Amino acid sequence: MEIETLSNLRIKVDNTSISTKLRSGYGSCPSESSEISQILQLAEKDLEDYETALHELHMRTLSVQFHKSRLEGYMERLRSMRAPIRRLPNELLLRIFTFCCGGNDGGHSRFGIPNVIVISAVCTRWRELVDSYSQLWTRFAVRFCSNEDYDPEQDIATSQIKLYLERSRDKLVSMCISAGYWGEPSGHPGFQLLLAQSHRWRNLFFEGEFSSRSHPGLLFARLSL
Amino acid sequence: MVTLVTSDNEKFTADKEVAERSVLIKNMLEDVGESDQPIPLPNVSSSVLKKVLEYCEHHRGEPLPAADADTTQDDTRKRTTDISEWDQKFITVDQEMLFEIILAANYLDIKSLLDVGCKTVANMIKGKTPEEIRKLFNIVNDFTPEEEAQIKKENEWAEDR
Repeated sequence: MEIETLSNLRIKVDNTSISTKLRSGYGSCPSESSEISQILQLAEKDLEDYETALHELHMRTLSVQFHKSRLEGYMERLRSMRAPIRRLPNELLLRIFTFCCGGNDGGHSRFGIPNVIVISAVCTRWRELVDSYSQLWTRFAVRFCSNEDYDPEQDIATSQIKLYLERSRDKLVSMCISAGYWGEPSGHPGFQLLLAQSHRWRNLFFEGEFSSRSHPGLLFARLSL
Repeated sequence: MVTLVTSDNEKFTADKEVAERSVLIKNMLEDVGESDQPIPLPNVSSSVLKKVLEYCEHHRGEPLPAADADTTQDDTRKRTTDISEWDQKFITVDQEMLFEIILAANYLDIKSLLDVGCKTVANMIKGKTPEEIRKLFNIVNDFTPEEEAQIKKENEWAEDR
């Protein structure tokens, strides 16, 4: 590939003659020294041209890489358009998702993340489907820390409960709660959310110490233990 | 015997008992009464019908699920993804065929085959990350950066359990 910047270089590199002169053992005379200075000045300019050429090449490489990766993305989308799973209508995808979100493993992936969350993170279509199907959000497990370790900034349990209660809409819910000691009558904020929706409880599995001392807030719940 | 005609115009003959595992075919046969007329199946290709008939033949004589099974059944049935050994071997096909079988089972209304197909896909999904699922099914990540951020947050909540 011809590079325009390098078409008018000033110096012709002649290493043979310079080596011979270097090996002669004599120093340069004044006229020769001035000639060398001129050559070096011109060589500096050539070096600048080389730097410019390298920069141009780098920019060109980046541009080619950008277009290549854009094309690859386009091809990936084209291939995805004809992926066999795309042929399934929504009701069949939901049937599959229902199987995914149940089972003996409680519907959790090997990373401990609920399958319903995993599925909703795959693509827009799957997310919209899963979000719209409240039945898939009716079983969940949360872990409450003890009141000593509670940090409102890091209250993940309450966020989880909010998400499941919102997406399960008006359906009955089954919950598995593991909780540490919470001696405050007001209880964990997540408990308050659950208590407000106690009419929607189908099953509640409680793991931990449950007494008036450990969870006074829960005593007011409409529980049929 | 019943004659079935596929979308690519191939004719298959099957015992009535076998063909009637499809609720669609059963209803069509009831509608036409005693007749030798072939039954057209414009949504099913010959390669897929061959597999479907193999399944129906193997399960010949087994009780069919009740018509309202989907609405009355207990949740637990849906929640198990166990598949019998024969069915597992039968459904070990490439993705192209797997999804065609699911579509055909849905169209022909063969609930047990539909469940075998759906459970197989569910088992492929279970235990994988979203990225692994995308790769497996050739799905493109089409989320906006804002949606990605929300998803990341949801996954953080979930990971904490």
